[in-house]
Amino acid sequence: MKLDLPVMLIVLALTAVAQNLLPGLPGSPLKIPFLSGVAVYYALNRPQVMALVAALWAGWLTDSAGGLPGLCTTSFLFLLALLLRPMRHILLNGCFIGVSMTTSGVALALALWQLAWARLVLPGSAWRVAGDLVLLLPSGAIAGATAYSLACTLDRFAGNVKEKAEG
Amino acid sequence: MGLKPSQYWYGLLVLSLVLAISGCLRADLLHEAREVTYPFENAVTWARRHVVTPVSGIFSRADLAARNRELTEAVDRLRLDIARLEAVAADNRQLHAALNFPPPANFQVVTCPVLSQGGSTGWQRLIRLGKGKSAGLQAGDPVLVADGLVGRIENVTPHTADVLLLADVNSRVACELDPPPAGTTAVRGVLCGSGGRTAGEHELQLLYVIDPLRLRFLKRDVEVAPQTRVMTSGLGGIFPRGLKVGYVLDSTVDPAGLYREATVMPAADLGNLQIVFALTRKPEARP
Repeated sequence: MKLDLPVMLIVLALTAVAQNLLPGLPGSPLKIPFLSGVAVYYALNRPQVMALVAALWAGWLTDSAGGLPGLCTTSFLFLLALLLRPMRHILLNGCFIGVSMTTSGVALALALWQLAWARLVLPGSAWRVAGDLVLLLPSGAIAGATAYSLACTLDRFAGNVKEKAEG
Repeated sequence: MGLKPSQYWYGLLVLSLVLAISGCLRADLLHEAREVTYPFENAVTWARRHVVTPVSGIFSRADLAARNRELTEAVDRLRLDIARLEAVAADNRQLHAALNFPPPANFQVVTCPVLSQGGSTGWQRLIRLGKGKSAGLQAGDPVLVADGLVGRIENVTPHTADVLLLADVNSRVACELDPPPAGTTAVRGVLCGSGGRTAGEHELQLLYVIDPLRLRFLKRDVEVAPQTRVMTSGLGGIFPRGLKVGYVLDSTVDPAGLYREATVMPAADLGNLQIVFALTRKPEARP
């Protein structure tokens, strides 16, 4: 029996806790978007229905713990899961680097989406916020790498996915 | 006949969609999702306080232990005890401060551990407390430490509460100067947050360098002396009167010349909160 659901739940729980507890990169108040990394991993590596479920739950957890209005992050990650699927081949077939780079861009786009959707007051001058947003690029790459490593390891360990052949 | 895996996942997808949409319609349902991560956050916070801190206390003094190799075993045991006692002493000091802090009439104090800072995104200056409705906390309750006001509870779940800090740009507190400048009976204004920055320290916690807060709409003609105390005025209806908020740094007349604005340094260290006290209304005083 495949253990897709338990693995997804474990990955979502661990990344949600890490996102809530860990600070952002030095100099930036914005958190490392581990949950977005999980959504990207599932969108690029697992069947679409699983990707959509993961996106909904990752968005739900982010909105709930981030004080954002309902559906703000959820809708973004849901659309992302739909859009990323056809672009798998451009995004290096969801390999480690592909997930990291995609999450990097997704983190920036999500932050802009949250600012616009929740009509958040900018915490500081526009330049400061722009600096924080730029720091989301490496922050997103870290999140993607972490989410990929964790989810892929657990998926392989549970026998949900097979290791890709060399060459 | 059992469900096929794909049918099972499509069912889960529909259920998740329904939950997501109902979370949009009912804010309390959305906040309840925090309860999923609460036990993990609580466990990590407990481990950090009771395991990591004592153990790192030992490792930080490892060079001394190396120089005294022959006494390593005995010294380590003593250090472990000291580290444990330091944590206990810090807790003890904070609880003592709580006991000496007289809550305003009709309010009672609930001691709350701080689980995390900044929420899941970091856009807002908020902290998450490890107590919620089950401990009697309610949205709007003031939160403070012995040094001064910290913020107010924005939303609660059974076991957690989110506190909007004074430093958040959305924070507004009705305040007054204490003592009022000579020749006046009371000078009141609205204290606004102005955001905060992380200090970039490599600690497993956010260390904010707080931008000064802004006390707006003060009387234009009043000269405000630096270091004047800023207290809650009780006019907003949320915070009781007389809670210490901070100290005036300086003041200027606003560009339009209509009112005076002062910059205020918060009295509480908003970047390093571990235990805070929520003031909840006694049941008989609730509306």
